[in-house]
Amino acid sequence: MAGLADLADDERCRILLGEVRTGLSAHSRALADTEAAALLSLRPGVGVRVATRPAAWVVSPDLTLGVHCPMPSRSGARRDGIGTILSRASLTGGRMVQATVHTGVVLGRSGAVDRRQPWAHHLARPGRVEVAGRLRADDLADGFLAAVPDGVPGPDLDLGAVCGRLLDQVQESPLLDQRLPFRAPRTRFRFALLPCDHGASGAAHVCRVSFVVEEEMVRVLRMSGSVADLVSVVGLCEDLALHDWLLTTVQRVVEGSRVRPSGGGRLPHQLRPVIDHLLHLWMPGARVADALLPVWAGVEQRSGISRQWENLVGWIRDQLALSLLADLGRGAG
Amino acid sequence: MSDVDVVFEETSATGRTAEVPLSHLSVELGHLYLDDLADEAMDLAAYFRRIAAWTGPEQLAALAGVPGERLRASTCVLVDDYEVASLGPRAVVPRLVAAAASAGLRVDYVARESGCAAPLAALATAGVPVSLADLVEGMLVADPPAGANGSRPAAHENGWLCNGVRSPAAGPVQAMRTPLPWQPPVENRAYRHSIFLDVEIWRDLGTGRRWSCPFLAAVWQLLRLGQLRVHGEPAVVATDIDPENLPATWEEFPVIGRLPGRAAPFAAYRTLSVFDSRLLPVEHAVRMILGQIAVDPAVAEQVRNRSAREKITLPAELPDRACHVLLGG
Amino acid sequence: MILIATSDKGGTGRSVTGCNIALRCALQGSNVCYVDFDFGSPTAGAIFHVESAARGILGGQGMHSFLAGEAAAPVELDLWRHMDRAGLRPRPPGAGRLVLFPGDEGGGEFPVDEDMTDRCVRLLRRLAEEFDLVIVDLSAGRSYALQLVLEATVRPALRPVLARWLVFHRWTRQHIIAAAGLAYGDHGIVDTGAAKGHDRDHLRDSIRFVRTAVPDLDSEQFAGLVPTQAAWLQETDADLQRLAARRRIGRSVLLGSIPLDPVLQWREQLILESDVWTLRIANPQTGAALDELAKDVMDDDPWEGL
Repeated sequence: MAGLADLADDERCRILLGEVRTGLSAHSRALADTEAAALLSLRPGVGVRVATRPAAWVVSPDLTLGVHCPMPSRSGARRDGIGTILSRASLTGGRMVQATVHTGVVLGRSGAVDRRQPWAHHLARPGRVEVAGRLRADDLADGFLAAVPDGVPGPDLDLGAVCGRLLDQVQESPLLDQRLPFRAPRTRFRFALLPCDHGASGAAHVCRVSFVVEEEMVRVLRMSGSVADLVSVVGLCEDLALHDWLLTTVQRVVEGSRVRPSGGGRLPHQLRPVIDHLLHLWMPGARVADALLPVWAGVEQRSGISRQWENLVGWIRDQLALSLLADLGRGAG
Repeated sequence: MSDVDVVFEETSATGRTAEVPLSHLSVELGHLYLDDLADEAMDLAAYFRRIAAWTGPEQLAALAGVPGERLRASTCVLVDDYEVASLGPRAVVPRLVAAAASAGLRVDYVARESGCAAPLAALATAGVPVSLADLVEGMLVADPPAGANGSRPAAHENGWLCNGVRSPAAGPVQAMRTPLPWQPPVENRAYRHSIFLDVEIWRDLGTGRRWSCPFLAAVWQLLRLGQLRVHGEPAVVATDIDPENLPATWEEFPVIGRLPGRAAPFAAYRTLSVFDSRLLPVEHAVRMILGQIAVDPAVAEQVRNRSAREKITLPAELPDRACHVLLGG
Repeated sequence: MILIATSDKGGTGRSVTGCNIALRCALQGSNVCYVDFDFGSPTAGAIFHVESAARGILGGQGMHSFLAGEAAAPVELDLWRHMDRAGLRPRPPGAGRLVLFPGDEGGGEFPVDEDMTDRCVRLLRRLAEEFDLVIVDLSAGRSYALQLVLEATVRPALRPVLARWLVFHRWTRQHIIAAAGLAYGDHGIVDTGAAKGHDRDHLRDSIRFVRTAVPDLDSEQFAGLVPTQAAWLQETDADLQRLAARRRIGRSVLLGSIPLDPVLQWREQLILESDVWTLRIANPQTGAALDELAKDVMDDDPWEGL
């Protein structure tokens, strides 16, 4: 029988896989905290968590889903995994909605090969998928992070579908009026954390990070390190995905209004909703655990995400100033 | 950078989970239907004598895995309070207690089954009434069949829960396609052969849901295992009752009533239920349901830490914490 | 906004016009997707120059399979990466997204059930969240696809989403009568919709008509006619105008007219500026009519209640 001692497995041997999808809440205005709490009360009797600083942030209780399927791999090794994945939805600034799903994969456990464990065994270890047979951590992560062509998943573990479904579930809530101020595509942010050999000193330690902007809407973050608290890594990824979405969305709008200027010094009409709803929401690293802040800083420096944001905001402010001047001119003339 | 170590935390951003006191063992002394009690011919004393033969102090200590002198065990009786309106607590509870006493058994707690199904004011979320059954339904995580890769939602939404894959139903077929031949259901953990079990969780009556007996029994087991919380607080707290001043109707009776005396805590690490064997199918279903319940990880951890402090070996899996004695006729 | 394109009969040029609207709106900066609900004949891929999806896609992951519950998610093709046509790859600067949800090759019509409606609602709501324009191309006539969309758009999650209907018909007597019947007749859009819980007046007000293959009597095409022929054509056209007005599909609910153009008729593909101005195979009027239609589809004025 699997006893409690078994639960104390070293968490660091797990490979974290996850995805965040980010979009604009399907509502005409930003939601107040109480509305957001009602929206994200996805389970009876389990409260949402609310933080008000530095921006309003409301997160749903975790939802658990069972899976039993082949694990992704680059090599095509078809190894079955069985266990649970966790998902949650959150709303930031009453405006940006995210669904996040993650699981920690434990490789090469013996005993799971011949006979399936009782399901209760897996429910006692939430957020963990056990893989039968040999599979290399690199192979698993590469397979998981590889782009899925045309959005069509195969029979492998499909965290993206869980994510998309949860986002749909929140967005189709009757509490939302479906009157979005503008349309914004959702982004898909996939992430993986692989164990690394060094850095065994108690504190969280991330030694390698690569962040790739793939197709228009797909981003991939791959990290190596040893972090005992996997949920803190999920928090980091949510924060990165949030800011990447903000940047992507505002960039698209600015690009459109540069190609088709409205003329006469008028403020391009597309910019208005962006100014009203998004510009004030940029607060990088707000909810990232201290130990992981260097990862944010590294990604920020390499990808230039903050500089790009400042440029965009600067351009929008210039347009705003020019339009005010033009209005004054018209008033005078 | 400053060297000052600053911690900022918002209390509402971190959940808190209250602990509940725990006995080593919660012993259920049979399951009584009001129909049975209405039958004057039923010999309650004999009923309890049969149970007493299986619930002696040594037997309980062995089941709990603690020496007899340290054993904390509480006893309870669940009354199925639906059918017979004339038999309220005032009529039933003293009779139960006396009959048990005549068999050498002490009843510590009396609970009513409707308490698991009816909406409870304390549980209401944003004005929406919530019952313990609703709460537990939210904890169900279906045992996934092979091929469940997350691309589809788990399918207990139709009010049924099973331990495998159902026989495919003949649905509408696209023009020019042939329907599939019959296929058997398969148990997920089948080893050569399947023992497939499909359990009704609720039925939609149009006016609302009617929760099934096995599901309510699973809710009851979870209460006894101290696993249920509402917004971090214990879902139900036992209320003292005065045997001299009992209410006339079950509606006025607490969900869990504590009789006077030095009762050990209601909830426990393990449960023992002694039943008539006609309840075998129900308990089979209960165990299957318990095997698909994901409890709050914070609660699981509390119980784990506590049992470790008490040096008690406790299985991580919920169904393995429930023991049953099924008595023949 | 969801734009539902339908027609009384086949051969109206509904799909080819719909695809051209989609392209033009995307080039103007809108995020556009095109959803192929033409279950009997899913050929939007061919119109968009996507060879791999010319008659729907293989592999059982298209729109049929998704709605029937056989595929968990439908294929979505980023057209800026898939259109095999010079000038359309990669995405031109300032253009919005352009995505195709193709049908399955070899797919057929199927009856609608509750689960299918659920899936349809979920998909369309999500698309309406992400795209400025969602074009749903239905099978011709009183089809299951029509029934499905009427059922889906009345559900609470989609009800608040703006839905507009376009009925395509050729400029002939039979087509005018059939188009009016499809919109207003027994078991037509308004009738069926009202039975499913739509507000009758609101639904009627959200239907507009597009006339296709309309001979432009002033164009060079007809310059060589003898006077009796010209007079006959004028008179027939006037008759048709009167017929359309009587059937309540006259000018007040007319969104656009697409001239008779062999390129549109025969090639059944996207018409680009190069077709009009460089290759000179398409008539400038056709390009202009499509531009106009793309603009009017998105504008609110032509859709004001009557």
